[in-house]
Amino acid sequence: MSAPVVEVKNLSVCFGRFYAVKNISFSVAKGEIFGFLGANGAGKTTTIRVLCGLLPASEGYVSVGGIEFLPGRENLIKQKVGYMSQRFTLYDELSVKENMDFAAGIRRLKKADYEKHRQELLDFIGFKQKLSTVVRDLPGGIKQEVALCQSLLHDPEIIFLDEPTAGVAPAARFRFWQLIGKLAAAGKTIFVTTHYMDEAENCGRIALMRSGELIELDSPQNLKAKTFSRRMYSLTPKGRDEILPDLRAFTVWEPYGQHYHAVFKDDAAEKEVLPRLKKIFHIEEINPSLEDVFIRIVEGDGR
Amino acid sequence: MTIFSRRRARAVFLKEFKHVFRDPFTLIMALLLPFLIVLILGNCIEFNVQSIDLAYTDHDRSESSRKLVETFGSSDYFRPYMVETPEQGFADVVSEHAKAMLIIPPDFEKEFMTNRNPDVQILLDGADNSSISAISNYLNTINTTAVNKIRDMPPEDSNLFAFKTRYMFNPELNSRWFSIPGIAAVIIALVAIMLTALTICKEWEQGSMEMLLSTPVTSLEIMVGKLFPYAVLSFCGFIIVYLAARLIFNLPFAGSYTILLSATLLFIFDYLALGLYISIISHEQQVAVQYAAAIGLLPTAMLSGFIFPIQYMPEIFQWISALFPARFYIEISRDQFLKASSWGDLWIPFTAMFVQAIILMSACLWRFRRTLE
Repeated sequence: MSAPVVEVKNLSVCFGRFYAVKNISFSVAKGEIFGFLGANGAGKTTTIRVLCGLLPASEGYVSVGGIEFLPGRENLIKQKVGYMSQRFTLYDELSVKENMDFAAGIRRLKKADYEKHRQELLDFIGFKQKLSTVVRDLPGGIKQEVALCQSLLHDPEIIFLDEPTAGVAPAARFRFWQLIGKLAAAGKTIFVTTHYMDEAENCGRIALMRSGELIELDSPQNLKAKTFSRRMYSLTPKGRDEILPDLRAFTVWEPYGQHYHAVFKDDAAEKEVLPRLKKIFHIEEINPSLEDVFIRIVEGDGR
Repeated sequence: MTIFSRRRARAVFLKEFKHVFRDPFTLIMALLLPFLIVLILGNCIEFNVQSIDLAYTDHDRSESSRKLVETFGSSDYFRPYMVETPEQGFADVVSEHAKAMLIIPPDFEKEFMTNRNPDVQILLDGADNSSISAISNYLNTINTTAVNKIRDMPPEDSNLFAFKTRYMFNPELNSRWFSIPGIAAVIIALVAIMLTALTICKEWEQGSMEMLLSTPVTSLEIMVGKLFPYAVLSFCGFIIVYLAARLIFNLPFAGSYTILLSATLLFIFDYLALGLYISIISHEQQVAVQYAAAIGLLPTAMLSGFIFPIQYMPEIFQWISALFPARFYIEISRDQFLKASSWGDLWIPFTAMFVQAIILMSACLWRFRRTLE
């Protein structure tokens, strides 16, 4: 295996006496889609800002694209990374071309290379509109894709996407993730945060953060298997009157809209309670979703 | 690592330039507003008082009393009109139909001719402080003129000697000549501080600053690139004031363009840095506007000598006014329009503005670094 593209060892970031990130370690391989999950304020954005060279680490070792973070090296790192955040992507008042020109200018790209690469990227996202279209007039999904192109203009090894699909329509989100998959297949390393659990399923590995700590790091499949060693059931009430069963029989009992997700404590409990529940609920066995995992791990213990 | 790349700074500048030219608000603020301000302030700021309505009652009705009233009337400063009783005149002053009232006592001529120095009463509207000192000045002149007129003597003979006054630099004591050169300071303050503070706050507010900082562009390049269009706009504001002064208000220009332009550029630089500093400490457009008004515009208008002369302020305010570059700029600007002093005469204001520029720029760079962390 080649050297990891991102390597973080014992990273801590503190603001005054408050630790936004506490002693986290992980590494990301080339071509990986690395998901970063956690509630707001869990330390995701702080970590990304360190990795982009925006924020100095208080303690620990960080290297990106084979370059160790040392003071004065910010620019070397900035050339290796692309960054796109949900908060801001493109200047609304400027046209697509002007936004791209700007990005090329502040990165000092050679004009010919830049124009060729811009066309390749726009073809890649299937951009059909005129380059002179003002960004304000683009649909949300397209705007996000153009922003992705902009962050790829300097051909970075790794791209940090901070909630890139927030507020984008589901169909456009699906398209966007297809693009991410293609980029990873082409050898780009993708580092992404998201609030959408269905999106997180597309990641190769997922890191879960809570209160500045890295509490889980594994593939979505392994996370599910690890978190739920027993079968999970979906229970839909048959009648209007819901009679809640004795919750001591379960390790998981979470309401999901009209139904519940439940996992029994042990075989004995399952054997005893399940037949009785079938009278009041429609019951089917399901694969746990990442959302179940997320609730279980990130929020479950803290409550 | 390159600290400053012209290419990157130019990219920021081009982007900002497009923002400015696509935003009608910015353009109006930067170009139309200066013009309106010159017209309004140029026409309204009038320290000279003319055509003061003067009610008078003449209890003497002699040739001498008529000559006295005539002297008032021919002075341009007063417009006398007769009222029947002192009460009526008094009522006119109360209702502001008249600014002043003149009461000539009976036997005015008789006492005057017998050298008994009769008293003539003048009532002035003391509630209106702005015109009162001008009016009392005129009264002294009119007094002498009237005495000569009544005695029917040429002015030379009445006194043993006479002051022959000539007003240097502004022979007609035109108050516009005095006020308009200062307007440029107010306009540059408006454009430079306000717009700069807004534009950088906007980058923070919409989160684009973070995107910028994730690229190799340095803070110095961001500042230079972003400030340059506003420097140009501020300079346009200055040109507008200059042209209005020369073409509309017929101000002379006695001084050196090199001196005035140097001072203007230095002053613009000072205020861009101040605007930048405001945007760094506030981070929000709304807060920035308040800061800009409080530490930018108000002191520029009030404590710069633009409206209130600095030498008559309490000493503490004189010191405070020295904190703001506007005071020094207005000093140079007035001087260059009317008096034309040399570099040597103006070294104090130039040095002061230069020191202020260095302090402000260092403060900006220092604060900007700290904010990122």
